Formats: sequence, structure tokens, C-alpha cells
Amino acid sequence: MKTHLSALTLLTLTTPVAIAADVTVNFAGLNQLSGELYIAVYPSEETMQSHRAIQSQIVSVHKKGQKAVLADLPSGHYGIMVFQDLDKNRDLNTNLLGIPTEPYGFSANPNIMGPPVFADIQFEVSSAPVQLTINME
Amino acid sequence: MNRRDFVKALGLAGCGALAPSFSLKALAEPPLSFYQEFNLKIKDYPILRAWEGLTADIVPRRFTWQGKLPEALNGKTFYRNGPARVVLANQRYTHWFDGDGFVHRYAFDPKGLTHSGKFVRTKKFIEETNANRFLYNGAGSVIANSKHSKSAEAVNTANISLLPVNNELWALWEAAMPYKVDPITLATERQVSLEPVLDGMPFSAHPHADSQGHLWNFGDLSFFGQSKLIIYQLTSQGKLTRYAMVDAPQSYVHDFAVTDNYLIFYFPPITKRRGDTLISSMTWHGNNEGEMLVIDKNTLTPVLRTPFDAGFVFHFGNAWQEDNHLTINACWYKNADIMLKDVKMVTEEKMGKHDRSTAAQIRIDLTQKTAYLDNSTTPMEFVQFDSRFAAKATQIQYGVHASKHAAHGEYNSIASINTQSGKVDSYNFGDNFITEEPLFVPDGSKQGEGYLVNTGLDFVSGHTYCCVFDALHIADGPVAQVKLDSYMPLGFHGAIV
Repeated sequence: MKTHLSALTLLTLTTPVAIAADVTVNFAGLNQLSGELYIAVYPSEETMQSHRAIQSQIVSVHKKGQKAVLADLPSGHYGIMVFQDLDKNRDLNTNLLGIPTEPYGFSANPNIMGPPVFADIQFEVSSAPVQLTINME
Repeated sequence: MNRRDFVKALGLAGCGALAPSFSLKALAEPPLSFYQEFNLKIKDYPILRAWEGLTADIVPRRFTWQGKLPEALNGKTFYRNGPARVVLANQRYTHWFDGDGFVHRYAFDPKGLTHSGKFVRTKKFIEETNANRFLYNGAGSVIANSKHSKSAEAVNTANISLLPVNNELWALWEAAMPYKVDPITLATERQVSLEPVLDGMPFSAHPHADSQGHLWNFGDLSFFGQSKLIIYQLTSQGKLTRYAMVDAPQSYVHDFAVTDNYLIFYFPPITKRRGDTLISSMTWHGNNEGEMLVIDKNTLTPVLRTPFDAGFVFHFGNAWQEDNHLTINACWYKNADIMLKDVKMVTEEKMGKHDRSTAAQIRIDLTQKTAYLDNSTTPMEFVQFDSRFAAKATQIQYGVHASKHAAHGEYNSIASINTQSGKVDSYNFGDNFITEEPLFVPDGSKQGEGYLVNTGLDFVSGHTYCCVFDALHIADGPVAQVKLDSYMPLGFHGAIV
């Protein structure tokens, strides 16, 4: 009984921040197995515009079915932006028009040309684990 | 009798309400796919063989000349590029321009030629081969459940032309980067990156060498929503010298002309907006004017932008400057139907009945800042000239041509036209033929002394011919020709090395 109570107390105490889930991101269309994926997670349009990610990861690309797990994202809406840094200059290379010349992708794989807004790429996180696929081609 | 005729015959065309009570099975059948329609129609309309396409690379085979190959052509290699993979997994592109690029190679020797051909292994070709279906909308074809293309590079078919440079062969499209193919094996090697910051930028299919030995090209940035062109200057070895962006109307530009001092562009009255395909994004405005743009080669800045007739041009011939006057040869269409409507309707009633372009000259007065069109009635497309006289005043232009009573709407002849006298020297292959771009190979020293090499398709017998003409005596017919063992899809542009 005592144990039970403790567990309940713990649950109660942690509940406000415990509604969170892991987001597993699968990357499709990785044609070059080299370089690193720079992954940034944004909780809003404002943070996206000011490049203030709530979570970020750098993942080396070794295999076709490359994945990344973004752990414990609190419930809410998020957008993920990712690029593959092939030449390891820690930056997304672009051409004269500002068009990326390295692979890139967004959550929700929006059918757009040009940079997305938050609404184009957002997805929801609640208590269940989330599986996403981002097309890098 | 097709379904439409059947319905008409029953008098039902205007009585839609009656149709359900008849429960006509024919009315319930799903419409034929374009793939099915094409397969049915090609039996009755062999002209469709010109767009039937290819499904595999072609291994080298030997053929013997009929006639005698002129010495000037001994050891030459003739290449031609064009759209060829037009069917994948029972889906057929609806627009001629969409097929994946296929490079033909005709290696000449005194006894005969060796023909071979390979698809350019673009990213698109490889991705769609692996998926065993077309994934992306084409320039004019809509693909069901198509994949979003993030950039023009994803749909680069490398299917328009070839640039031989520095012992290399570049296969060109017009809205993305070139692909380098091996000049002998035709194996695709890699994309050509002029400079990292230019990766993914458009490089048109019509680079031109000027009389000083520089190569010039442009990219139409309206493909990317910008009112600009990018101008490239390269060495004769294909190394980038410089580039600049120049303000320009958003329209559609396929080719340009080069004089000693200027680069000359024509913008038809076409606007672009977002659409499923490039073609569906373009609108023709026949009541508006077109525009000429003249750019100074030294400063890469515009010296003239002036309104011009509404019309359409794919290809320009030789251009030159005399005093402050420019003369530019062009193949002039009175509207853009050829691009926006006609070439996608090859199985419809209008099949092959589109307007042909005519040999025209555009004259620009740089002092008065005026330009006018001097058009002719001589059908001409895929215009070529004696490149030894590039940017010099010349009289002779070559191209595909149509005889007066040609039975189909394509080009059945090749010709030279003397733009001063209007005299046409032509050879009519016959109404079973469609002719392709004739390339000029100089011999001797005077303008026009040399040979024309072209291919022509006999769509009835089902053979493509490779022909050599004396360029001063075209009407005499080929001095040498080879009949291939099969027919090849109509191509676009070639090169002779």
C-alpha cells in the first residue's frame, strides 16, 4: 500500500511535465551515405524564424534507413527542419538564388518551393510515441 | 467508330438525361489512358512512331554507306540528343518534351558508320527506374500520384542538346545543370558543376561560341520565379570565366543570339504562374507585345529593352552587327501554340497540323532603339549556319523545311535559304518522312562550302536514315546515306566532332 501511494504521488507530481513522447524520425531518400544530418525542432513560427530550436541533434549518416529519436518532446505542435551536411562545413550550402545544394527536408514533407512556414511543417505530439518520415530527396 | 461518334450516332450527345436509362456499357467504361490510346492509334497512324520512344540502350551496330562519304567527314562523330523514355509501367507522357534524354552516336568511317545510343542516367532516370514508374510531373505531362519535386534538378532529363567541349560531351536540358557523358561509350559520368554557388542553376540547351572563341550561355531564372536571366561566359574549354544576373521579363526563353559585342534575347508575351507543369503554368497573351533585350558582352548589362511583335521563337541562327544595326536570324512562330498546345496533342484530331515556323530576320537599330521583324513564308526550324562565319554578315541559313504540299504537319525536307535573294535549295524526303536538324560541317573556305549531316525518319517503312548532303547542292539529294535497322524517336539537337 505504501509503495502504491508513493508511486501515485510520484505520478501526480510529475504529471504536468510528463505528457511527453519520443518522436522517431525516419529519413527517406538519403542517396549519399556520408556527412551529418542537422536536425532542429521548433515549437512555433516565431522560434522557427529566430532559429531557436527546442531540441537539436547532429546524426552521422551511415546507412540508408537512418533514424533519429527526439526524446521526451512535451505535448504540443512542432516542426522539424533538417539538412544533410555533406561537406561538413556545419552549414547548409545554397546557390546564388538561395536554393539549397545539399539534401534537406521538413516534417510533413510540404509540397512547396521555397522556405516553409511553421504551418506547412507542423505535427502534433501527445502521449503516444510518434513516427515520422522526412523525405530528403 | 469511337465512343464519341457512337453517342452522337444515337442522338444522345445533347440528351445526357436519357443516357442512364439506356445503361450503355460503353458509357460506363473508364476512358482510355493516353498509353492505351497511343497504342491503338499507332496502328492506323504510323507517324506516331516518331514519338513512340525507346525502352533500352542500343548497342553499337555497323551500317554501310550508300554513296560515298566525303573525305571531310571521315573520322567524324555525329551525336544527337532527344526525349526517348516516354513510357514506364504502362504510363505514357502526354508531351513530347518530357521523355528522358537519349544520346545517339554515329561514328563515320569511309565504308560506313557505327550507331549506338544510351539514355542519360540522370538522377530522375535512376530514381524512376528503381521505382519502375514515373514519379514526377514533366514539363507538360501530369503523372498520377506524382512526387513533389523540390527543385528543377529533380526533373532534369538532359534531353535537349549536346555541347562538345574539352574532349567531353555535355548533355543539356534548360532549367538545370548539364550532365557529362563519355563521348565514346556514352556512359553518364557526373553533373557539371561550374562553381558551387551555381549548382542547381539553369544552364540553357543553347550555348553559343562567338568569333573570339568564348562560349556564352544563359539560364532563365523565371523558372524560379525571378525576373532575371543569368549570363555565363566560359572559355572554349568549358571553364567558367564569369557570370552575372541581368533583369529580364518573366517569360519563356529557349535560345539567344550572339554578335561580337552583344547577346540578344527575345521574350514572347508569356506569363508564368504556379501550375502542375511548366506548360500549364504558362499563359500566352497575344494582344500584348513581346520584348527584345540586348546585353553588352563586356559589361554584362542591358543596352536596350524594347517592345517587339507578339510571336514565339525556339531557335536563332547567325546574328551580326553592321555599324549600329543588328541582324538576327530566327525561326518565327506567330504564337506559342507549338509549345503550349500542339506538341502534346499527337494523338488527337489535330495530329501534326500545327503551324510551322518561318525563316525570319529581326533587325535592331541601336541608335534609334527600334526593332522590327522581317518575316518570310519559307518554313524553317532547327536553324543552323556556317559557324566559321559566326557574327559576320551571312546569307545562308540551314534547317528543316516543309515542301509546299507536305501531307503532314511536320517537316519533310531540309533546305538552305539565301536570306538576301530568298532562294531556297531544298530536298524533299517524301511524305513518309520527318526530318531532323541538319548540322553543317565546313569544307573549303567560302561561306556555305561544306556538308550537311542529318537524320530523317521514314515512319511508314520504320527506318531512320543518316544522310550527308553537299550543302551547296542540297536538291541533288544525299551524297551518302545509311538506313538503320530500326526507327528512332524524333530527337532535338546534335553535334559533330
